[in-house]
Amino acid sequence: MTAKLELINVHKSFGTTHVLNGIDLSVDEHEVVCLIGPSGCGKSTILRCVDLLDTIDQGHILLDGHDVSAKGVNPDEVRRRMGIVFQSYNLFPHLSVLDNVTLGPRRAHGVDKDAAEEHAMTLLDRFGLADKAEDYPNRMSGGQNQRAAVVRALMSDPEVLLLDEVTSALDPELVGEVLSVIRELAGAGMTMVLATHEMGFARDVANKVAFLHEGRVLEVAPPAELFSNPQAERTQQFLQRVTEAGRL
Amino acid sequence: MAEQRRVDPDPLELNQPEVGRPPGIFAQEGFKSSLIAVVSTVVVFGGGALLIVNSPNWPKVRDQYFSGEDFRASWPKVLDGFWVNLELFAYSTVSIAIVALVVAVMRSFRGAAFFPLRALATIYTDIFRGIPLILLILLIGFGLPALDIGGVPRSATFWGIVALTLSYSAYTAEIYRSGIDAVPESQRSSARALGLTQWQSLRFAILPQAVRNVVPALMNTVVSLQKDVALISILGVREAVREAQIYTARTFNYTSYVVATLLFLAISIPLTRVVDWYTARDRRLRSQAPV
Repeated sequence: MTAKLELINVHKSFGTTHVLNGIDLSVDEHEVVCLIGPSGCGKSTILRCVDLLDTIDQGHILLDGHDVSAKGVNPDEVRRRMGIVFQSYNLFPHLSVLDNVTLGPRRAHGVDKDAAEEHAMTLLDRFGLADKAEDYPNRMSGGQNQRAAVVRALMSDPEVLLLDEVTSALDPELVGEVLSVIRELAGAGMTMVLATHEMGFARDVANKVAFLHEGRVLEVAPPAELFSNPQAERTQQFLQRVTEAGRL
Repeated sequence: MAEQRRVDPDPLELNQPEVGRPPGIFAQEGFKSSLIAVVSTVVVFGGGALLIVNSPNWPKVRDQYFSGEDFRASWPKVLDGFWVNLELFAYSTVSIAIVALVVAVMRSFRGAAFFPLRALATIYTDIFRGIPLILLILLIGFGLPALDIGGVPRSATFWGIVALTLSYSAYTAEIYRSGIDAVPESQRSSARALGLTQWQSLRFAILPQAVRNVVPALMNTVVSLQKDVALISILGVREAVREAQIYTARTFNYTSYVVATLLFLAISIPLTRVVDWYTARDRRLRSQAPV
């Protein structure tokens, strides 16, 4: 079976900094893969590269076996098949929640206004935001912003959802509401790649956890295995530090 | 984030108004400082006025510039001319807003394929910001109509507006661009991630925020344009300044210039007040907005 998403020997540098040094990773359909590792290990860059927001220097990114990182591929077409949620929500401040979430379907997918809004209200309702549809992002809490951002990413029925440390910018008491949204999506069979610092959550929701260090995947394993019996020395050190900090 | 918690904004009542203290300038500044302000104003302006009125040639100058009779005589023509100014002002405001936006957008496109667009926009701003406006009006106003291009008006008014538009758009495009650059990069990523094309991202996500960023700066440009419209008089367009000149040439009295000055001030002062009010309000709203 072809993997839904596959990264083969992906390299990416910014100037003289090599952020990704040959990433290999494969994600099956309905699979939830968590990327963990210290800050600067390349988690966010992987997600940005997969969504073609950054162009890779070397290697291949395959979606359903097709190389989407190849020349001649229209990145807009590829992005329309994926959704990404950023750490700092990045909702459009000049648009209401409803306009934020319907912008993509209406302009990129050509869905008409009524259909887009109907779909939006269904999703907003599902994530407890129906009464926020007319509100502007700066009038809402961080948790509500982030849930709205998830809805925005889901509007185009993405084949893969990318989540980039979606709880890192939230006040601790607001983390739960966003995690439960992701848990629900995982339960519904959404294919997801998450960069996260929430180890407990990763253990809970992931089918596979990948530990990254200096731009490489050092270890990939089901969470039970990786967290209780890490093989690589770096992974052991990292998990030990996380445990000491009370985050696992 | 404070939305869900209801907190008394002022638990210690530090900001409650004090009872028995009347509002207004005296209450805030104290009587003494207000008195000083009044006295110094009287001394400075009164002293200046005395100096002028007592100068040896004042009676002559007064008749030259402030003659009631000439004021009445020149008023109708200068006012007629001023309507032309307002018309020119309206047309050029619209055309500048559009051309400048197009240039700014051209400069904001990324990627190797759009290099020609960016280069064109850069050359445009460099050239037209570098030419004195009055020179541009002379060159275009007298030069281009001579070509007699079919279907294009030959009137000085038309080419005057073209010259104003070319020059002002170069500056205004830079204002727009500073607004575009001030929108965080993450907004662009976010728009592109939805599958929007580069143009759609600009149109729906970036530009609305960018324009809002620069409204005060744009309004300042409008105030300045309102006055520079008078430069078109050098092409012989019979607007306020031209009419004032004609009156002066006939009568050797300069009161008509004062008439024109008052007419310009009647528009530019309220306009400036509106800009200041808007800028202050904008700053207040932005500083209040929770992030």
